[in-house]
Amino acid sequence: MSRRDKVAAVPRWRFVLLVALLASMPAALLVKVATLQVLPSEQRGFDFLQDQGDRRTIREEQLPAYRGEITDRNGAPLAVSTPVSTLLANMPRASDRWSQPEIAALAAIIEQPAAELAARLAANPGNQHLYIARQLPLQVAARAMALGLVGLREEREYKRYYPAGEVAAQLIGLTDIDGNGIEGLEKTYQRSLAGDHGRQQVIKDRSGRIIKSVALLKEPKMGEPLRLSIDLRIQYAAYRALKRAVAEHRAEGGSVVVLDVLTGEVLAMANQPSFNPNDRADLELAAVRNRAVQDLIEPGSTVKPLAMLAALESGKFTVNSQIDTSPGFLRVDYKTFEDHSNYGTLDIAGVLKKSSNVGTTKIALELEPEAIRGLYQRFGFGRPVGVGLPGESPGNLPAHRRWDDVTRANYAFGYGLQVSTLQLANAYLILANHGRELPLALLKTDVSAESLVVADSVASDAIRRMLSGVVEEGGTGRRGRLEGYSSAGKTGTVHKAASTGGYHSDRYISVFAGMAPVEQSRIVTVVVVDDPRAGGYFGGEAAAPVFADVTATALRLLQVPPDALAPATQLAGGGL
Amino acid sequence: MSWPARPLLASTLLWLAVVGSALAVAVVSFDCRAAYAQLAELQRSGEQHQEQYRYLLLEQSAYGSMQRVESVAADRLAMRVASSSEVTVVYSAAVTP
Repeated sequence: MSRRDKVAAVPRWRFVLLVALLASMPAALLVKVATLQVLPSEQRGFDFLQDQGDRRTIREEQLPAYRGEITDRNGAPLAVSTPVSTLLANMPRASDRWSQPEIAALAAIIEQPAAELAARLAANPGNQHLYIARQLPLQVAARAMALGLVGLREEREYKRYYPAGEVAAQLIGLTDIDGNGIEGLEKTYQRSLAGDHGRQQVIKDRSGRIIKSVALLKEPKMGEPLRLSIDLRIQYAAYRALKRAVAEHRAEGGSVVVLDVLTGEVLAMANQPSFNPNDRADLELAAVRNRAVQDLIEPGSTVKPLAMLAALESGKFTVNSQIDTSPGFLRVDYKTFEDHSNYGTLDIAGVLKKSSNVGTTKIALELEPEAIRGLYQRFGFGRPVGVGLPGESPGNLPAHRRWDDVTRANYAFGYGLQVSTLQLANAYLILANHGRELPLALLKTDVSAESLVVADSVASDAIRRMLSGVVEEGGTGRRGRLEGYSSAGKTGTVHKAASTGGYHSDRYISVFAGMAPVEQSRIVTVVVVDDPRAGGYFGGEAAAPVFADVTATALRLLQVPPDALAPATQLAGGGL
Repeated sequence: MSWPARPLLASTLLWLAVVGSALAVAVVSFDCRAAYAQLAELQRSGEQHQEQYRYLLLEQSAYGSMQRVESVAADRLAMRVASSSEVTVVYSAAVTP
């Protein structure tokens, strides 16, 4: 048998079968590849697989955004957000993998009792976002993460710090633990202050490093900074002087408002009692209230200058009009109005200087019933000042259909209406600004606001000059005199309204409202001391020294040249 | 050139171009990753600087607080506010009131 015959003996079908089998293998591979990558399928098609693949590599990352800073007019920080870390545990992953020593080590780092932490972990076995500790300093959180516990993760948060502390606590306000403003300016300007975290999709490698940014889902939006009109130095001076007065007179509380006459900006707004916004462990709600805008007082004698202005405007009285106040009391219907003593005949300046109730009553009863209320209304009483603080009160300025004489007299010396400290300051600003109203501002502006004429400028200036007599010898507000500057103001001592109706006979609110210097006034300051129980309760005793202290400091800080030095020390030089 | 040589050359060139562009894709995507890593690093250090800036801001305001300035001025430097008899106001001719 030849060799060729042997080969031919192999059947041809075997060769065909072999080739077919070999060819079918890559074809099967191609089909498989196509079903995995190209062909749609009911179940687990290529889109499902791609999605699963992405889920294992693509992660969403937060792009952090800061809450805007609040600063004073000179850029000193009043509220700053700093990053802190929050530790969370994914309990289904962590369960039973944390040993007792590990839990103890974690508890020690975050300064919690180990037993408490262990109990909390045991009580929440199914919680994927269990807060282990919130708002930790970054270094502490880094130490906790270094323990390498399974299921423990770190999230970036921001904590608000208030460098000025209790000095401006009510004004600046507070944020809650999630960083939303809940009080004060933090609440008013929540929308612009709040940052908005961005999100991006990234691909991470096994060790968590970002390899590639896939898509920016949301641009992070930083919170806008807020620059206040407040001058922290003046705010501090106001706070310190008020705190001292409240302690000295054992008062319940008080507030101070300082305004810039040139711009209508609020330079300081301080309240007592106060609180430390950086430590809220024992926060009292009463201390959070911004008394200067929320609390209402009857302004008492501090509105007499406005009543006198109404008298001058009426044309029935001039600066030289003489009013006979003897014998020191006056009976009107069922009520007797008294002065401290019999002041005899006074001119209008004298009525203000002595704060004569009899003189004020006599003048008020000569005027049209609506004249004084109309002027109060023009000076901003009965409507919110509109600086944008939460809880700002419009006050009470009741209108009466029939004005009996007692109501008219009461109105003229500040009973029967209610104003906030800020409203009273606003009214004195108009007096200091030659009868022109400026919109008050809590934010620093560089454009000067339009002023609106609300009272006769000659009469307003006359009243302002008369008020300088109040702080002179023989006036009720001698202690409202400033070192180096002329000043003008008015004291007020008001019986405190009782919650049961009527007035307390022995509890008072002590007020001083004033401006300085007398000519070209720059500063208006209003001081309210609530219920002083020691060391004198009159406005001239409890509130006037605070006015003098704060106003002089503010003028010095604003570099206003002193105008009330001894004449010998004023040198008029040649060209410097 | 005879006709079989021309398509052979063309396909060789195209094949080379494909290989070249494939290599370029690999190089560029490597560069991209390196650049992204650098960006992430810079972002992180930017964040750290922000953090530090904020801590320093707080520190500065703590050291510069009015309370502290006042106590340092009064206690350590023995300073006080000048009384009105010690103040001399000098006006230049241009601003004499």
